[in-house]
Amino acid sequence: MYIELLLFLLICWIQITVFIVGIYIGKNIISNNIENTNISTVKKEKNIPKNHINIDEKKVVLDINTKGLEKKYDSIAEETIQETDISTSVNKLKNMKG
Amino acid sequence: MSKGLDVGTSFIVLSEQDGKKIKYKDFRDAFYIIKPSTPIATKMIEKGLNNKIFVKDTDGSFILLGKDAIEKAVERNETARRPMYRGVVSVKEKDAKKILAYILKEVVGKASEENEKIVFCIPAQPVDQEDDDFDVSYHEDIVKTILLEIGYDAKSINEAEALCYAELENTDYTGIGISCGAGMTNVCVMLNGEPTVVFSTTKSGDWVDRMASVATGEPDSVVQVEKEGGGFKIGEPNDNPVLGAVSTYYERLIEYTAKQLSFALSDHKSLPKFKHPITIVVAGGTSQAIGYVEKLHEKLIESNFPLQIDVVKHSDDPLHAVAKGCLIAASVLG
Repeated sequence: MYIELLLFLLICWIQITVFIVGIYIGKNIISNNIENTNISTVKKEKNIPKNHINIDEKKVVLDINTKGLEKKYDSIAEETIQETDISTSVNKLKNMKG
Repeated sequence: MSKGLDVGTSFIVLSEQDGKKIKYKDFRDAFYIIKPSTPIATKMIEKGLNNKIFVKDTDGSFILLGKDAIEKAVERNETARRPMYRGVVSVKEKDAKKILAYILKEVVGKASEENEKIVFCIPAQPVDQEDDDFDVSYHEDIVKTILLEIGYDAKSINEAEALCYAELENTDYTGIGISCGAGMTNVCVMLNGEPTVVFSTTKSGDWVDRMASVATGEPDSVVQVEKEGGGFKIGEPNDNPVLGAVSTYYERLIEYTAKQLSFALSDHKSLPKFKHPITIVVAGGTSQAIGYVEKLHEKLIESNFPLQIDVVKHSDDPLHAVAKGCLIAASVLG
């Protein structure tokens, strides 16, 4: 009789403890996660621009001034002549490229 | 009339057709500035520069150009400067744009007719470097602006693509072109005249000079002059310490290039399925060292190159091949 009563009380205590732990988890952990998910969704939505427009950041070529350089030579480069006919290469490539 | 232009880090080469001949104009891409300190020094320096290629600037300084710039720099135990660095207009040199513009205008000359076609080469995006200093489109715009100013209708093509046009006629423009310049190594995989994969690496001849210079304590210019004098074979020891270092670093460079090539092409989505073993053609000043082509073939096999190789051949005219390819491209457009 005494042992049965003790077992009954132990089961009741376990059930109450599980209930309290359940409430704690539900209130603090799960709800926080749900809130966090909502926040990140909103943030993501804010980050997506409606019209994505790029600005051209390519470096521009400004005036390249070579005036004022006084030439002091006859020929700047060495010249060589080769007997090479490129007309067959040109025709073949023209045919291949249509 | 059309023209081709190879705007390289170490050489600028113009090609133009003259009947059944091609006329090449070669210019060594270098300059060296001498600033006289007194009016007497100005007169003495100008006398000393007799028969040299130079220009006088508005501030009184003398700008030596081409080979003479390198000779003068070596004489003074210094290094000649360059308007280009690693295949594009140098951002490190304050005077780079002005000097490159002057050189290009002088080498190319004014267009003989309105909107004469000219095709010039540009490097591909490197696979081993990502920084703001490497801006191909800005470089392309600069060259285009200069050529436009002297009356040309200018178009650009990739440097290794030009090499394929010059060298792969016998294989129906199918194969791989590797242009080994001073600043970069450019690669193009071509199938029936269409470039399918293009890329570059930023280590080439200048890297060999720089590393050999660090190892021996000699300036880059001295190493460059010794290297270009020949007298060494890649991978073999040499009694001359500079050439010994050059030979060793050359081998390392070839190994690096072969590994980069194999890695970049393995599983590449755009790589064609070739029916037959392919031809690889090599050109450029850096490829002129004895043993370069054989060593490259050996290292490609060692690095599990993903395609079957029929032959690795050297261009008959490694210094002019890219300019010739540009001229062919210009003639196709014209």
